[in-house]
Amino acid sequence: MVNLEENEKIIKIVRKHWFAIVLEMITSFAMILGPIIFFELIEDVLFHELTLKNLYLLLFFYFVYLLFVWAFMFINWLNYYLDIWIITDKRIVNIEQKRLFSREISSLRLDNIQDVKIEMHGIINTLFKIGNMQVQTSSPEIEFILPQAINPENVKHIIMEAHNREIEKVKTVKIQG
Amino acid sequence: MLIISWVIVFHCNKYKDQGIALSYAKYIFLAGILIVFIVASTYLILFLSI
Repeated sequence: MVNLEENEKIIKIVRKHWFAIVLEMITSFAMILGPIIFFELIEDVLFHELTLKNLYLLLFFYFVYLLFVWAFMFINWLNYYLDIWIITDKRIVNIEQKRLFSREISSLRLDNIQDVKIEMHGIINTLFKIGNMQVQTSSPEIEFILPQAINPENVKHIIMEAHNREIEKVKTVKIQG
Repeated sequence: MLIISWVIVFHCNKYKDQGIALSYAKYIFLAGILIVFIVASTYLILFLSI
């Protein structure tokens, strides 16, 4: 996954909230049930003389279609699950799974953090503690974003604590030097 | 489809240390693929045998 430096310790792994995948799963279940409902609705109109042989053929095609829907569901889940932030005592590693075969890994040293911003909008997000997280650096191009993170307030607290410890370490080294 | 699913599982094996749920999920995925594949094949055989 990620090669840690010597003496580097993982403090926390931050994932997206499970609610982020719920909508996609509802879509997948609609895709599963859709053909059944459609078939039930038009059965009397088009298939009033449906033979057993044709029914088997229809069911065969339906289950082939299910194979693809099942794979689609798993790929969606995989994209959700592999999207993480690893907070260590030295840096934040952002692993972004864009598509199944496309991912981006970037890391940001804690002493380069300028600001940690969280956004929580709406009733559901407030109830479930879901929020968008954004870590900003001095460079406007480098920005870490994790949408729909679990408990962003707590994560922000952890990042800021680790950041302060790292800054103290840097100061100590400079004074000793 | 079975080949595609194997490629997907092989691909996600690379990230197995990224969370324990991944190892369970890939077996559930493979089991689901196999079950649906067997049911689809059964209907195809039934269709061809009539």
